Amino acid sequence: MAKIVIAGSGFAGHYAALILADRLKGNHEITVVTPNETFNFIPSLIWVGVGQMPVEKTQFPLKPVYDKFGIKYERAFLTEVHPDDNYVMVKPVGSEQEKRLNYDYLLVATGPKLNFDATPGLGPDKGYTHSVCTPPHAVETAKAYLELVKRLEKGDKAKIVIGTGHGGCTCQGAGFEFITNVHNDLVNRGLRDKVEITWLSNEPKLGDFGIDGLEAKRGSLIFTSEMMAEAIFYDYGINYEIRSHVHKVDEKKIYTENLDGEFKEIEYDFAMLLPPFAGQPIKWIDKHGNDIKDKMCNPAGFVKVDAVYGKPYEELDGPDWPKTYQNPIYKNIFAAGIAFAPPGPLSKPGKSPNGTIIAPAPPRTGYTAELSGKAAALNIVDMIEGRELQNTASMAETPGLCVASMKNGIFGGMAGTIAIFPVARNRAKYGEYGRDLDSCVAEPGKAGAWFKLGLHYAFLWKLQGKAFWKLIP
Amino acid sequence: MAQAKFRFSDSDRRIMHSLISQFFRAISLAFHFLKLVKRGEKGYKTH
Repeated sequence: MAKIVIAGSGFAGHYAALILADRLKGNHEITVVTPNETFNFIPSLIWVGVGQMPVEKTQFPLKPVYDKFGIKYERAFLTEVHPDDNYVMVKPVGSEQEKRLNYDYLLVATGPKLNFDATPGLGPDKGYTHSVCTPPHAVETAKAYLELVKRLEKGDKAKIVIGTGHGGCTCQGAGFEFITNVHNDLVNRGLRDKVEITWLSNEPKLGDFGIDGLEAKRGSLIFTSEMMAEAIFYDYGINYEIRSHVHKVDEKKIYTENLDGEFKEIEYDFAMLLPPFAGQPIKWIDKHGNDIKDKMCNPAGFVKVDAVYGKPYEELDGPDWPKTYQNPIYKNIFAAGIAFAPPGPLSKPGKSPNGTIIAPAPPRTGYTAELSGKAAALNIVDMIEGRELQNTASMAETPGLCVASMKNGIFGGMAGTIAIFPVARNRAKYGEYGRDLDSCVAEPGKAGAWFKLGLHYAFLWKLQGKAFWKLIP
Repeated sequence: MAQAKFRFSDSDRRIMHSLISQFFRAISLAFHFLKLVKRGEKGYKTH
């Protein structure tokens, strides 16, 4: 009987656990190690953050699902991996005593560490800005936003800044969703004229979203995400400062530097700035007690897999992206979701004349994270059953499907429906644009709003393993 | 010569907000997404 340990209960880890349980039919032991009690559907935290959805609607308890599937559940933090001896150390939540778990196969799907510390003054815990990255953060953001609304209703005016809080951030799409939802909420309340809204981001061009933007055919026009974002911001009266790194934030101002080396101070009354991501603080220790993190992870702390590392941006292409998500040194270790180390950025990195790096990191949507989790899970099945790995889900060969909410609602909603194939440009296969433009879509409309709401319910249904869950992609 | 910025026309906005157009567009996009999902799943060989 094989022991499989999965660290993480997000899209990649949780989905991998269900896939493994379904495939292995109780003949092997699967343990999920996670500090969370609930699965959190992060994409809908945007709506929680503007006070339009109660946080409980974005979550479900994990234990009942794991009990149903026969998966063991350790509510704990992964603290150490000992890959030579096939065990991990975990620290149960609320305890100082660590515990050892042996494994035959390990899947690291621990998601990002939200690195607010990278920018002084960033974040709701030790800083001045808000966040929608976690359920408690989104609830606090909603509280602060609704207090601002009350002040606006009394006649105050305000400056709102939303975007990225560091030159290395990712998930600009989430920031785009939040800024457009805030705009539309204020319009609905009749308060939009009291507020100046600014988009602040590290993107080299508007609509980059950390994926180097996208192109799609719109009649005879090659329509880009830059054109779409600019047109939306024009219609919405949203100002923007891009190509920017945030050096620090204080109570009243955000201090930035852009790729031209210009330093700016942006005043704000309410700011939601995404933090950069880092790998979780996990120790990797070999049989001699040596720290081997440098061998196992990239400098940001994400776990190396079967990617080609070390190439400069200009040389990166499709074949360099990982396919099986297997660690090249320890073949029984996999990493998926945000936890795996990408070979490089999707967007063009930049450096200011002062040496400040402004380089969006590559994002992964819930769907993309699930694809890598499923590939890793099925490859573990292959190894257990004595086969060569035969499952691949490279970001250079799979679609990016995303719906960027701009306004929630069935009749009044609006969202940008985005599809790209593949996520990572693959010029070796698709020529100039590195993508199959006939498959790409960038389109705002009500249809997107319906999809977004539908995806919310569909994912939550699927990930609870309810009836016909396997039919939902 | 600087390129003119793209702006949504009134007709674009009408289509984006139209319940009927968007209903049919939703069906078309759903099929498109499913086609892309199927293409993306080609890498899975173990079922």
